[in-house]
Amino acid sequence: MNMLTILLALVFGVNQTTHADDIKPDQPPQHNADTASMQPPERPDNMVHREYDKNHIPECVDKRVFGYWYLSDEEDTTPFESVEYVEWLSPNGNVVTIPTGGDAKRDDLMPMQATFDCDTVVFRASHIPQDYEYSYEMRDDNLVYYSNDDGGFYYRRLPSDTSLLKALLRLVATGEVESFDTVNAEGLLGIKNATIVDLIDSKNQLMLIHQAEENMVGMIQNNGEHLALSIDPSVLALSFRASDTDQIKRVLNAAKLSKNTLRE
Amino acid sequence: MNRSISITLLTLAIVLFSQPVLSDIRMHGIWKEISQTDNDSTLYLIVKKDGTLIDIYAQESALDIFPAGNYTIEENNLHIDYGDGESEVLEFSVGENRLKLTGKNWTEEYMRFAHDDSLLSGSIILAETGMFTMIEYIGDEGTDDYFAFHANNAAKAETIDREGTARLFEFWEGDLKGQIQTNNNIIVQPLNSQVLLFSVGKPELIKNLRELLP
Repeated sequence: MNMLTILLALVFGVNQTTHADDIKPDQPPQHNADTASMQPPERPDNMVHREYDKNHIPECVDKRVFGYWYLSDEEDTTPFESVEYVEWLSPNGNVVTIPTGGDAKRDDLMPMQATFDCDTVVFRASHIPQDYEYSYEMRDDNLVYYSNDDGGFYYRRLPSDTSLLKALLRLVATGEVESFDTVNAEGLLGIKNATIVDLIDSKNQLMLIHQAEENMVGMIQNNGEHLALSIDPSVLALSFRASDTDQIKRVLNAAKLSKNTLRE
Repeated sequence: MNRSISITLLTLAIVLFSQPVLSDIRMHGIWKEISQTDNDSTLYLIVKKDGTLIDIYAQESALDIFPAGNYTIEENNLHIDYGDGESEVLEFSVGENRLKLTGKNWTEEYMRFAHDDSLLSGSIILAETGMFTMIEYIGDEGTDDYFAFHANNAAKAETIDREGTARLFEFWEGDLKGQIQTNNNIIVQPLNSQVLLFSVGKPELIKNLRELLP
């Protein structure tokens, strides 16, 4: 299964306006069968790392459309616990999607690109031959409706207590995540759940720990290298097996929220 | 007697009687038993400024920590109140780096323990908080986790009330800097340049540690 939620939605969503629950990401649509059988496509570096000029986002674009979303319905009848995928539409137009189940591999993490105009958006991905154009409309601050001639679908903003998913999305958006997995860190840290993130082309790993207490800030360095960094007010990242410390630093800095940059 | 002289005398009296005598001050600190009576463990005696004593039995795999009562000092006698009506008076003599305790049929000599950058030193700091009964070294458990964290050795402890945990990671030739904190707590904190404390669940731990960090 290597399709993105939004692409599923784009294809399925046309007839699923109010039945998002019925969308099964593990049942790829017919026209994506080719993609599913393809060799893992090369990492689209140009998409992930492309430097976007935010000034080129037209003024008329409703900036509320950027953020963290999940496929929902108009009446909010989809309990978040049953949501299988979440995504981040970053202000530079990157779209990344991850499963909520706690683990994913690189093939699950193919990014897309969204190009916005005043009322429309075009989604494209290097591994999908076709572009998809939709009108979009903010129904309220936390609900957006995408539609075209074939139908429409709703995206709802992620609840506030999902900072680990959001941090993972930001990490994946760096294009340097090979896979992630949930592990038991009881022995190491006295914490049951942690997420191990493997980075590409290296033996580097990050361990993400969710701390319910908010406003976590700060970092630990050892001989000048990042050892632990708060990348979000409630997510701590520890660096493991840092053979390429520049990669660790680059990825952590890209994934952290800017207000957590104390004491660098 | 004029007023200024009486004030001066009063001040002098307050200063004299409120200051601990030299032997009290010299007693404070961490003392390592010199003549190791037990081959498997070394006794560290912590004489805390707050009037309490802590015994630490350091073994290869763990530190066992026991509250050892409250003490008062009277001339060269150490009065120890073990609680439950039990008490003992030991004779002592103390120098800058040596302490000798004499009981009814025994004498024990100690040397002052100076903190360094070792895991033992970090563990003793943790023990001194009084919030743990045991600190276990997990360096031999064979898990790759702390190696993956680039640590060379590690220790774990659970607070007495089991509401908090602490982990110590030792990084040889480390130069640890920084701190990670939340609203009410510090959760990651170097105890020295090679030992990093990771603690979850007990803000009091860090409060207690603040006074102890060198």
